[in-house]
Amino acid sequence: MISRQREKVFRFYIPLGLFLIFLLFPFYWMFATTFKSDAELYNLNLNPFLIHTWSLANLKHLFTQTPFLRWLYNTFFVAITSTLISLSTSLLAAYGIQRIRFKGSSLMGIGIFFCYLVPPTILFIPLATMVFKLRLWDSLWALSLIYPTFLIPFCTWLLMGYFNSIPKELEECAMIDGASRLWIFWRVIIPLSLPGILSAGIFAFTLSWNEYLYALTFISTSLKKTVSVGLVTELVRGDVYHWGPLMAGALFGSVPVALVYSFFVEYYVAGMTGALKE
Amino acid sequence: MAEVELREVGKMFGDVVAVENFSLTVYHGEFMVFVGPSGCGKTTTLRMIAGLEDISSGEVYIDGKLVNNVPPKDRDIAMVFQNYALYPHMTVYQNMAFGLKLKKISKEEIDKRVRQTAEMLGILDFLKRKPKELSGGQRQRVALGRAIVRVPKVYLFDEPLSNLDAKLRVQMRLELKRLHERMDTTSIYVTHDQIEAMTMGDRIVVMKDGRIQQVGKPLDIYMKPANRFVAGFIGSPTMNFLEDAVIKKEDDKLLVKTDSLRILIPDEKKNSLMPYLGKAVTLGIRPEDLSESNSLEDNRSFKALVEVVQPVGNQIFIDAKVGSHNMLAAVSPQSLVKPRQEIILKARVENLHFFDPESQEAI
Repeated sequence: MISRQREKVFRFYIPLGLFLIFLLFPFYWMFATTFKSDAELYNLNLNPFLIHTWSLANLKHLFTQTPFLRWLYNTFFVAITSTLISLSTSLLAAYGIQRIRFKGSSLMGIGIFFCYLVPPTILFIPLATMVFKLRLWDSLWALSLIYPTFLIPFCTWLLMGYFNSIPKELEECAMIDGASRLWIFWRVIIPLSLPGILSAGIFAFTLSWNEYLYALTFISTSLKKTVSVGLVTELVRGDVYHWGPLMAGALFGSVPVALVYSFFVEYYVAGMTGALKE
Repeated sequence: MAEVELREVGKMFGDVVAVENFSLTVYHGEFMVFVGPSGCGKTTTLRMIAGLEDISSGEVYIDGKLVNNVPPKDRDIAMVFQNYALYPHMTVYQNMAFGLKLKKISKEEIDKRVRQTAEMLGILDFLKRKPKELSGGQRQRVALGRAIVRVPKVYLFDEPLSNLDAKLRVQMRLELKRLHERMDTTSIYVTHDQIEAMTMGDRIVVMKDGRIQQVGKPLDIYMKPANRFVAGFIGSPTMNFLEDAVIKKEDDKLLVKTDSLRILIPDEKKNSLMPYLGKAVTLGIRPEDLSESNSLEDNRSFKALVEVVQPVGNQIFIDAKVGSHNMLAAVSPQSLVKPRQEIILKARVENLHFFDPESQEAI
């Protein structure tokens, strides 16, 4: 009995613990740097892993010297609008491709997948022309409309897999009962796909939240920047890194995503495994 | 209640023929069973009647109305699926009320009908539960209830009992049959289980490779199978077939002979077998038409070497070697036979079946 417990400690808890330390260390480093004073930060004689004197100077700098709250709002706005646009489009696309089986539907599915494979580093050049012609340059709507270019393919494929796990008979039964396609989609498919929709939503939200390249390219006004771009462009001046406020921004920038994940983690797992249990 | 008529109905999936030249009339109040091995087209035919599958050729009529291009919801049918197809996110009550709500029936009427049906099926206590909280048998009842509550013209059943365990299946079989009698409706029932077909159907359609092999009352099909396939498919255990039987004439008597047995052909079969005189036929004997005998009676008994003995309670199945063939006999449970024992088997000659070796049709 004891040996089995010991075995579990060695084979499970110790590796898991090491892995957790490896994963969480950056967060700890952000946290520690945020609450240190500049003097302590650059004093090489002190133990860098500990906070000797707590200081709120970096937070004060972040919230008063930069428009960080505005950046947070911008990031929220872009992440939520692009997620909503992507989800509503992907739901219809995935359902159509998976269930209506029109001519060329599988080809269209593959086509959408290929869109996902084009790297943003190539795509941003033609997209820049489009954004300019649409007069969306330096506008948050540019990001809200551009992010779906990579979110829709991803969400569509995830939802296609999920819809596939819903028995066809449910729809056929509803059809015999007198329901229309839209009614079935709304009353049967959507409620049953909630875990899939949520996980697609979380993923879309996270991807938009962390996006860097497009946000850097299409936004130039300081007040319109997102967190990821704002921190790097405003708190790294030339070769001067304002480590304290930078880490404070990174910490507060990652909290919302962590919260979203922790609330929906169960749905997320169910959505990824596509398991529909009657 | 309605009549369902299919006229030369066919279904192609690309180049593959799923159903061919299917003509049948299911009368008012009849319980019709489609039976056949998997892939024989029985479910496809049912789905064409339901409107879930396009009809490639031919015509389907429900209650005298051509429905080829009528969507499923306007055919006034109800279907029970193999996997029940209950909406997992709705309660039993909501599941049963779903179709009625769509028909815009008043709340009071829906409530009355759902409760009446639930009471009839013994699921009144589960109305507030979700399907996942029910057992297989209870889910099956809910699926039935959802169909019954709508009072359709025709019920379609797609292997509704195949997900239940053996004991429950027998019980539900009885209940379904009882429900059918009580509701006096037209039902079409698809199954691959020939016992289900025999016990439930007013008439049976035996199908193979998309074609009807035989249509008839269960006992008629059992007694007079139209061809070798039907003979082998209906009846359990399966009929014994002896391929190399030859029809011979000795003194004025017509006999069927193989390497190890000779059996007298009864008079009523003589005429139809005369053209096969001197030729090979396939002889079919059902296991239950073989019994143990003490003496080698003239022209109806033969020796057999017992290989395997399988008691099933009310009968004992004996697998025995007869010449170069293996035959199965269902004998009385009192039998004391042992493996490697030589016994005498007696055939009930009036129940012999003969098939043309070329066309496989019954002679």
